[in-house]
Amino acid sequence: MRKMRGIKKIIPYLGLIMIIILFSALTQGSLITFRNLKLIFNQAVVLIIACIGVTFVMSQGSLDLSQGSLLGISGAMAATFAALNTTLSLPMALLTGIAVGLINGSLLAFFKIPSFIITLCVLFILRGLTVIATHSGSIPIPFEMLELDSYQIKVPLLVTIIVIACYFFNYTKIGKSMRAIGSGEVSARYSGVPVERMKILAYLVSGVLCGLCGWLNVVRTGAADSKTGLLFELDILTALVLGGMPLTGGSSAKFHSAIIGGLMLAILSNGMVLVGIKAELQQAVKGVIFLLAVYLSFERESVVLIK
Amino acid sequence: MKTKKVLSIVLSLVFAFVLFGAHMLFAEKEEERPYLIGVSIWADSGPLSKKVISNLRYAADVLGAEVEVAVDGFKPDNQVSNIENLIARGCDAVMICNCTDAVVPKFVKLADESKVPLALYFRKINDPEIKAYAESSPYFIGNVHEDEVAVGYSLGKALAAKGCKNAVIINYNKGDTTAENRYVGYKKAFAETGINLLGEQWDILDAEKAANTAERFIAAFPEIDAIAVGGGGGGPLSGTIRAVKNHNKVGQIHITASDFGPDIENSLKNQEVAAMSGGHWTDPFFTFILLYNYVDGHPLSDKVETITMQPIYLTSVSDAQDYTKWCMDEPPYNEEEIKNMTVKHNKGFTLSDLRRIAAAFSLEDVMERHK
Amino acid sequence: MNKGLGKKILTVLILPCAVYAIFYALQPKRFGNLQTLYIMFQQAFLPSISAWGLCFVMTLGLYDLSIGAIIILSAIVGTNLTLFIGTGFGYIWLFFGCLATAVILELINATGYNLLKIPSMIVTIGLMILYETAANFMGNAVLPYELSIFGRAPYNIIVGIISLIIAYFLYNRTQIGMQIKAIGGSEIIARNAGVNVGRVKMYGFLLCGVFLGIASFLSVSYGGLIIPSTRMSSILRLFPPLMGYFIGIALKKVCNIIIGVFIGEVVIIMVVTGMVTMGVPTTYQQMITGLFLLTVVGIAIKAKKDEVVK
Repeated sequence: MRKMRGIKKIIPYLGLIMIIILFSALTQGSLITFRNLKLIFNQAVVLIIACIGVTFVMSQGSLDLSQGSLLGISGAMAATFAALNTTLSLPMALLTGIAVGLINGSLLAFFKIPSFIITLCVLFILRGLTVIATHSGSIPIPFEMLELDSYQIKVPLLVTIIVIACYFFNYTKIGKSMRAIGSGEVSARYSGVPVERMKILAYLVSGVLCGLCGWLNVVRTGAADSKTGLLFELDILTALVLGGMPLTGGSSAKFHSAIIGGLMLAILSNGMVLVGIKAELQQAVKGVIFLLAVYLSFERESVVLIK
Repeated sequence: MKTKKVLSIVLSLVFAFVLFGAHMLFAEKEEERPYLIGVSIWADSGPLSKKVISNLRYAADVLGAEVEVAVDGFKPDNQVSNIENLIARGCDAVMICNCTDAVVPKFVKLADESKVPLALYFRKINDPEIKAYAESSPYFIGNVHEDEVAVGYSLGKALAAKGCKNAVIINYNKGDTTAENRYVGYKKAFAETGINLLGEQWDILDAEKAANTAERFIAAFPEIDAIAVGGGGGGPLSGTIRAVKNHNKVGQIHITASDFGPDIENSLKNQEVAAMSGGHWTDPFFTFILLYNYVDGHPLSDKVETITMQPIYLTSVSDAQDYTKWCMDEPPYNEEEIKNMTVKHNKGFTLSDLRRIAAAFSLEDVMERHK
Repeated sequence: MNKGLGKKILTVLILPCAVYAIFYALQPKRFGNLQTLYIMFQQAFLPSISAWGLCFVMTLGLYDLSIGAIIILSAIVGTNLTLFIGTGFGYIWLFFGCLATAVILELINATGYNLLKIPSMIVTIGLMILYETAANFMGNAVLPYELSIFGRAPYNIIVGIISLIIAYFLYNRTQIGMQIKAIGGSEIIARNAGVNVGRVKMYGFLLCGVFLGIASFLSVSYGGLIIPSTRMSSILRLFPPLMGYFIGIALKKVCNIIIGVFIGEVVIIMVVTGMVTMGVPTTYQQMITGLFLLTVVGIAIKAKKDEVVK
């Protein structure tokens, strides 16, 4: 039994390796050229950071579906303030993320509304705000800001976030408390875990990282658009699940899910274009790989009820 | 549980085989490959996008080239990723219908870095600063677009000609350049002809939502006699027609639309639609021709070029029949005509020829050439 | 008893009446006319039917994110089947084509869930992508107007009311409905009490399929044209029924969820119609709808201090 769980733990890694091998072969190695790997990194970085944030929420067994619109509104705030002063863009994006995270977390902790409902409603509200903030169109950023879309910034940034988040998630009381809530909220509470505070903190982390993603996205594309981030929440959910994250959270919530899942999705999208799979078929390939990967990696033993 | 272990091993073996086998299988394919043009498009479903894709594939086939299609959902980040991926795929040129002017500098930057020519379809750059930035690039080739303000204006005038006084507009994405320009055109025509604009609703992309909205307008504003459908690929028009029919208002409420609906002939025969514009799916074809000539080593110009074309307007049943026969059942440009648009096959072909062909595009033009 | 019932009915009606009163006060001529009221009533049925289907799955504690894709694919298959066979018994082919496709797709969902043993949210996301692809390959569905009688009043209302009665009966008066609620209450207790959980979940999905089939039949009759959605965008069709379901849950204490869902849909349509008549820009509508929903659900759901809410 324990051995099986051990194997399952490595299945997401295996999946990632297999996808790399498969697409490398089909593209005659084009996938793993340094140039293309840089490209995949560039495409995955926003998704990975957002996934890291949501990992904290999902480890408690909650959901955060507001991310897509949060990406849009934080980007819009970044672009709006960049027009006044470029240095203001990042703080404004982060502040937007913090505010939304606080609202999500507080509504869950104090009003006891299910996270699925809260974040879905917030998704609608923020999408409306994004459309208003972008004046129903898009806001360009100053051309010089396009230079910020560089690996010299993104690589250290991602590594720092991974190290800090991984440390907090795996080695501190905070991470353990969050997973304890996922495993059993009542017992966590009786064990002295400040449940409400942890819930707010998780959404705060998720919010602030998504705010950062909003800024990164704007810098990458050169614009904040009313459609930025549309259905991004589904990409995050798909990536995390691909990476082996259980929806119920708890002790089987793994930090690496965010990184593996994000990379897998980016490689799939890039690889399918490189191979030349017809656009109409790409989604079906994604769907099959998604179901297969989850089927193989899902830890049924750690979940009492599969819902 | 054992099966999964076995499955994992089998899969690994398969992948390993593919890894080593693939190199041998594909090794010799490198030389003499056809030109590959990358196309980023908003969707691969829906009548308009499907027609764009099939028309491009047809043209590529005629010229012995290939197109690689990637779907972007009109989202800036997806558009950037698509351009990156298409370039990485080895496309000799890329074309895109940009979701906003603001993302163009990034595309241009990517094209410059990779030395891959880039062109836009269905779009012109309105922002002068961005336009100047794009035009400074040696790899930005140009764009093809329709005068969408004129489209809205003509259709608005068609409503006035029917004697309409109170109109509403049902449009698709708020912020979309095409939708906004058509809206501006309609407003201009309404202002000139004294039509009151009673209400407007945006972001309507499917038939059901359009029918809901049209019904709400009909109930709340009993005085309306015109509904302008801004576009959205035929779905919104179909829903609007159904709503008007269900409320027995055909003949009392006149509809105009951009993007033809599914049953254009009957819509015009039963007077459900006063006038409609469409057929602009040929626009990306001209962008393709521009790029093909460029990658073939015969650029039609050494400057950034803008090509303008007009959509097809249909106002009668015979128009609709002709459109179906000459533009839908057959390609609007046949093999010979397509080949003649390339310097490779027609040495004397110039940019002004392409401009002339694009500007002349109309139902009469297609019929005249193919009858 | 009667007094209690009267009080409950009054409580249930507070929400729609309050919303109606607000918009009536703001736009008496535009919003208050009878035709607007009639149209709102009609339009509430379509999302309600999907939401009733959703009730059977969500009461089980499961999710079905593929309902948008199922509606689209069923409508396309149903319409094409009708056009292929001929329009002789058009309505029958259309109805059963839509119904059978939706039930088969939900059967695939249920089988996927039972066989793969992974959470329903994940199974239905994966299958949604596959259904979208299938629909895209089949192309658009255009239903001739002669076959669209169920897209207009009073026929759509008749179908809606019949669906309401069936949903109410199935959910409240049958053994399967009781078992679904039992599993929703506590799966472990239900299993120990002898409920065949796997089978009941399968029935839950299938019943959802029945209502999705009816919804797709009405949807294509109403709009006349169904265009496939890809890249998971079919999920946008899930939101209107889901919103009604949320309000249904919020009203659960005072009325049956099947009725609550319908009231929820009427209220949401009232809010949107009210905004349309007032000329509120579309951009604000989504925001206001989201805020409204959050407020209603926030007020109605009063969890106990230490209750586990996720």
